[in-house]
Amino acid sequence: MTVPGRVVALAVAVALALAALTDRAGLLVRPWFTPVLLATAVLVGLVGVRHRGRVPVTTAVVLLLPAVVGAILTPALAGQVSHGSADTAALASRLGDSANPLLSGEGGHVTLLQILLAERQVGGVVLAGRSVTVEAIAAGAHQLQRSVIVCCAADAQSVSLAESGPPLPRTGTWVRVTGKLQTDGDRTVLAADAVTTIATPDNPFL
Amino acid sequence: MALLALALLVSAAAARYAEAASPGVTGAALSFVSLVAESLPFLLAGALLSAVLTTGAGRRLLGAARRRPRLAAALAPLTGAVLPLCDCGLLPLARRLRDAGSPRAVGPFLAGAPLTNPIVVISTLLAFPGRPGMAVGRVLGGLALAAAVGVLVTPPPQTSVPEEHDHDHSGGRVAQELFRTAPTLVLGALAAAVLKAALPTSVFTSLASQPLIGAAAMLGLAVVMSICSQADAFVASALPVGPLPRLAFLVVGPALDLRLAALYRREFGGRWVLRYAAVVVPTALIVTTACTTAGLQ
Repeated sequence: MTVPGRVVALAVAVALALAALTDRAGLLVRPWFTPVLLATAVLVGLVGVRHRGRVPVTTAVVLLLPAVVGAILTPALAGQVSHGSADTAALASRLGDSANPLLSGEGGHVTLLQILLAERQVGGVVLAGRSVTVEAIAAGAHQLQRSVIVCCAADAQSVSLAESGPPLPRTGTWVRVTGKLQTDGDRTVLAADAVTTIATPDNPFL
Repeated sequence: MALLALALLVSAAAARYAEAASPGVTGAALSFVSLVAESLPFLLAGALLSAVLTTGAGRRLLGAARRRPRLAAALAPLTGAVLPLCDCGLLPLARRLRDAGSPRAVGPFLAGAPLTNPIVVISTLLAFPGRPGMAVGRVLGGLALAAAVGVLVTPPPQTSVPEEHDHDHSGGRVAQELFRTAPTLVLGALAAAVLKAALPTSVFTSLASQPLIGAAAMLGLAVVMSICSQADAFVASALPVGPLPRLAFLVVGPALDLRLAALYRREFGGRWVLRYAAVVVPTALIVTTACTTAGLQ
């Protein structure tokens, strides 16, 4: 049993374009890779339109399987995936990262990764007293966690930061924590003033 | 494989609707889709380049490779320096080499070119700041793998390839590549994702207290993880293992992993893949041991 190759190629192209043009790509790849996905969708669409042959149904099913599984995944499920703890030193030079406000003496909305990178570069003492707001997953009563990817979700690793202050909600809950960075021995902790439960962000990865 | 796919699909759907995510199932599903998403663009880029090789200058280049097979095999791993493709993007080019009458260059090309890729070198330098020895060891490892494969592995069998007519425009050839290779890529990614969920990283890193056993375990981890060669250095830098296991992970991954093995088996046959793996794995162990002993770490 066969189906027109043109139809299959166009279906793959549409799936890739939808992933690239919606928040779905954020579950799979870093933002800088999204244009690559879109370009791939265009290429597959262009070559698919000109394809004259037919392909086995099994080929079509296999090619569309990732699209079906990708449609099932949700940010809430994806955000908790990690394949180990990250070494923040290695993540200091990721492609596409913007400047770290903590390194220019500022605070405000930052990511867990930015806090950990700044701690590594300038030391927790320099950061102490800085007011910050972070969004993360509760990973215990006083532990915040985020998954970080370098290229795609298959390389997801976790970074975490200790929190002091009000206990966090149950593990796996997304929270926004506002407080001041402090040192506790040789580690940096976030002394929380306020902990708010939030909805899962569209892009659960850093 | 079909059962695995079905099980993954049903489990992922159940996890979503039950709002009770199983980390293993979610991780496998996410790894599967993201491996395909990151690999497909490179596979198509390789197919486009392969199509370019059927035009005037490309034909002359392949003709020269056919006339001087030993020189072609020797230079093949160095072509990675001008082919900024992920490892799976090299497959269409390797097949073009074989079909153009240079099968001897296929093994060295697949084993060495991913590790001489400038993006891979730069990402390794970035992932190991102040430690250029890791990037140097990686390139040397790739060249050693290519030399060993070139000498010890018989070239893949040449198949009778239907003559490509001039009216087979490059778009047609890219579409053929999509239907020919991409399904294998999808199934390879599926197998890697399921196995990765079944064998967590900690299973491998727990063996790393003894350097040689650790290196062997990291070879296994690289094969199972199947991550892109342009991102694997950042993962390697986070592994709680010593320099030798880490370098072993970095050298073998781009040359051989589950996703690549599925692709190579599809094109060159299972026996060729076994012979290729039988040379790549011990050579990687030997060369990475030599590199770390020489201070490249």
